Amino acid sequence: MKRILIADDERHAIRVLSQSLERAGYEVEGAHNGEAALARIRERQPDVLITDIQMPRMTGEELCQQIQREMPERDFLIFVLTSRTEIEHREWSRAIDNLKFLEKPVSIRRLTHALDDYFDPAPAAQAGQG
Amino acid sequence: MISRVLRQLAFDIHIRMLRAIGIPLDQVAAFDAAGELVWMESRDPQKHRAMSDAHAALLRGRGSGAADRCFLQAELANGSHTYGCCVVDDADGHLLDIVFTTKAPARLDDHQAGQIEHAMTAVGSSIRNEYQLNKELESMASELAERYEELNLVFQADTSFHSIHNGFESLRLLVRDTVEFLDVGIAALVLPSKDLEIYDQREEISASGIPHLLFKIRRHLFGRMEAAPASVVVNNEQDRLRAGLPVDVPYKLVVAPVDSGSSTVVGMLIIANPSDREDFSNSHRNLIDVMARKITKVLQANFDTLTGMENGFSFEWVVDQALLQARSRGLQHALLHIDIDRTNVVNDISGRAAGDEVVRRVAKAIAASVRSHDSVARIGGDKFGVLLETCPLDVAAKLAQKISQQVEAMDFTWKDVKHSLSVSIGVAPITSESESVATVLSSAEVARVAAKERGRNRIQVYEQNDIELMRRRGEFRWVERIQAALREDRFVLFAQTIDPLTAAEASPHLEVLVRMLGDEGEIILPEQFIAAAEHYHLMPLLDQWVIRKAVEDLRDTSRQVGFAPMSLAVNLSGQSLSDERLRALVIDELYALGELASCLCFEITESAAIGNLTEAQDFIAEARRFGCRFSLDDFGSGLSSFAYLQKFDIDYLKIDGAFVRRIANDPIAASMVSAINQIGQVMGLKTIAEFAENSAIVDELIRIGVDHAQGYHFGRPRPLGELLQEQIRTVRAASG
Repeated sequence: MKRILIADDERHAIRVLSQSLERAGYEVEGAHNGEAALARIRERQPDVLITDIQMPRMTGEELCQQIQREMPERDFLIFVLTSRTEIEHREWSRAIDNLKFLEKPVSIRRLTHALDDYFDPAPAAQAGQG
Repeated sequence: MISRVLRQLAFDIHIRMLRAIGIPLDQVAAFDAAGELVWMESRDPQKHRAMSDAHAALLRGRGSGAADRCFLQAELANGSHTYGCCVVDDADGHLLDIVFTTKAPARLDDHQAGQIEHAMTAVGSSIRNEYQLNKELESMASELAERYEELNLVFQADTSFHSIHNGFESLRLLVRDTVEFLDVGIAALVLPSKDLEIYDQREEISASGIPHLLFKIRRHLFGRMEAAPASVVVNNEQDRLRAGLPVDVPYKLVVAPVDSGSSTVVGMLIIANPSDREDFSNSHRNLIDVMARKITKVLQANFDTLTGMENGFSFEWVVDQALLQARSRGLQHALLHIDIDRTNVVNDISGRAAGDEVVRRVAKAIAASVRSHDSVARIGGDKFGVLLETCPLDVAAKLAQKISQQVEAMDFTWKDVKHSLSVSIGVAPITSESESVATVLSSAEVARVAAKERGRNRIQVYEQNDIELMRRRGEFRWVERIQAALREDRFVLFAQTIDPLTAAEASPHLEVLVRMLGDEGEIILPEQFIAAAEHYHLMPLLDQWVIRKAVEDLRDTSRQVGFAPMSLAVNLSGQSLSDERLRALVIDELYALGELASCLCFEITESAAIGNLTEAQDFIAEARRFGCRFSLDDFGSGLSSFAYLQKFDIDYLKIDGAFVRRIANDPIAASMVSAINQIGQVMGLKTIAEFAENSAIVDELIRIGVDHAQGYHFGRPRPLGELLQEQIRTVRAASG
C-alpha cells in the first residue's frame, strides 16, 4: 500500500485529506508541523509528501529545503498546498526536485487523479462526448 | 467509516486512567463487532493471539449474539481469568469489546469485580462519547470534502469561462467538469432552441442509452420547466411520479432550468446517477442551479439573444479554429458573409419589431440551408457569418445560392404590408495560405459588398487575384474620404455653359459639375471618386449636397443681380432616383425655391432612367409641376433603344461624348450623332452634344443640325457662383 504523509497544522485539513485518501486505498499519516513531518520522514520515507506552507516550528518551505539537503537522492513526490492567489512560492520551489503545487481547497478528485497518474502513468481513458 | 473512527479512539489514555485508579490491568485489547483486533497496547504477536483467545472465551460465556450484558468474565484454559466489557452505540449498535487480563492470578472477588465493572462502565461510556464525536467529525470532513469539490467545480467553470472564447467549447467544458467534480454518472446540457445536446459520462456508464434518456427528460420535463422554472430532484419512485417521468427512466436525477438571461427557459442542465447510487441532496440541487446560471452567462456572452445563434465574438474563435485546421491538416473551408438587403426599409416602414422578425426568419432560413456541422453566427445587426467546414468554393457558392433562394422565396408580410426579402452574400476561402482571421473575415466582407453593389440579391466569390476586388479595397479608402468631405463640406461646384449652335437663344444654359477638395486643398475630379461613391451607395448623399448647394448659389445670385430665366442642369444618379427619401427631399427644395424652381433642369443618364423606370417617370411628372426641365444624359452610350425615349417626358437629349469627339474624322460616329439628333428632333426634343472640343467638331455638329453644344471649344468649367453672376448679368444687360 502506498504511503502518504500529510503535514498541516490544521487538523481538519489532515482529517479531510486522510479520510478521502484512505478511501482511495492509500495509507495515510499526519504530522502537525514541519518538524514532526521531518522526524517521520527521517524514520521512514513516504511515497508522497503533501505539505502546507504556513506551519509553526518549521514551515513547508523550510521542510522542503531540509529534505532537499538531507536526502538529495530522495525520489518521493512532494505536493505543496497553496491558495489560488499565492504565486510567490514558485520562486523557492524551483530548487526542489519532484515538487508540484496543489491548490487549496484541494479537490480530492483532482488529487487522486494526479496520484493515480504518478503511481500508474498509463494513459487515462477519455470520457466520450455528445 | 466505523472502523476508521474506531482506530482513531484514544484507548491508551483510558487504560492509563484505569491503572491510575488502581485497577490491576495486565494486557488490554479492543475488538470490533466482527471480532477484528482494533487496538492493543503490546505489539507482541503472541500476546495478540492470547488476547484473541480470551475474547473468544468471553463471547462463548455471553451466549448467542447478545451484547446486552456489559461486563463479562471467563476462565481460561490455563486457569487464569479474563474480563471484558462491551461498548454499544445507540445508532451503530455493538461497537467494541474491550478485553483485559489482570495481574492478580486468582479470580477477582465480588467486591473487586464490582469495582472494576463500575470503572469499566464509565470508560465504556467515555469511549462511546469519543466515538460519537469522532464520527461527527468524520461526517463533517466528508461533507467538507464534497463542498471543496463543488467549490473547485465553480472555480473551474469560471476559469473555463474566461479562457475559452467560444460558446460551445465553454459549454462542453462545464458539462465535463460537472461529471468530474460532482462524481456523477452523467451530466448533460439540453438546449432545444439550439437543437443542441451536450453530455458526458463516467467511464463505467455506457453512452449509448444517454440520447434516449435525454429524449425522455426533454419530452416530459421541458414543457413544465418552461411554464414553471424550478429545478427537480428525483431520488425515488414517488419523486419520479411527481415529476411526471415514465417508468423507463431508471435514474436518480437533478434537472435545473437554464434561462437565456431574460426569464425565458431555453434549456435544462441534468445530472443523473444509476438508481443504486446514493440519493441526490439539496446541495446537488443548489449547485446545479448555480451551474445553470453559469451556463446562462456563457450563453449571454457568446450567443445572440434574438436568433439564439453564436455572436461575432464567438464566431471569430470558430473561424480561428478552422484556420488552424486548414494549416495543420491542409483542409479548405469556406466562409460566407451574408447581409440582409434593405432591412432599413423594413424598419422604417413597419418598425423595429418587424425588422427583428426579418432577422429571425432569415437566420432560420440560413440554418436550414447549411449542413448540420456548419457554424452559423449573427455577426452584426443584419449580418451573418457561416463557416462551411471542409468545403470547396464551388460547393460554398451553391450553398450560398440555396440560402439566397430560400430567403427570396420567403413571404414576409407585417401588418398587411408585404416586404420582399433578399440577401447579398460574399464567399471567401479559408486555406493554409490564409493570413489571419481578420483577413478571412474581411475578404468575405469585401466580396459581400461587391455582391451588394452589383445589385442586391447577389452572390460574389472572393478571389485573391480579382482585380475588381483589389480596386475595391482601394475604393474603401475613397469611401472614407468622400464621407469626410461631405461632413466637412469639402466639395465645390463648377459649371460649364451649354451654347446654342443654330438660333441665338436668350436664356443661358449651364451644367453643374462637382469637384472634391483634397486634404491640401487640391481639386479632385469626379472621375476619381464617383465610381467609389456609386459602389458604396453614397450617390444620394452626394446628389443631395450638390442640389442644395446649386439651389443656394442660384438663390444668392438672383438676390444680388436679379432674376433671369435660365436652365441650370444638375445630375441625378440612378441611386438617387431609386431613393425615396432623396426624391422627397428634392421636391421639398423645389417648393422652397418658388419661381426659381423653373430654372432647374435635371440630367438623368439613360441607364439610370431605364434602371428605375417607374421612379424616373413619377419623379419627372412631379418635378414638372414646378416648371423643372429634364435631360436624358449620355444618350447612345448604353443599351439604348430609341423605344425607351418615348417613355420619358423630357426636354433635352444629350448625345454621348464618345461619339461627338470622333465625328470630325469618323463617318460612323458622325452617322450615329446624326441619327440620334434626327430622332430627337422628330420627337420634339432639343439635342445637346457633349465634348465639343474644337471648331472641327463644332462645324460638323452645325452641319448635322444639333441644337446645342457643350465643351472646351466654348469654355472650360468655372466656379458656379462666378459663372452664374456673369451669365445673368449678360442676359439682363442685353434685355436692357
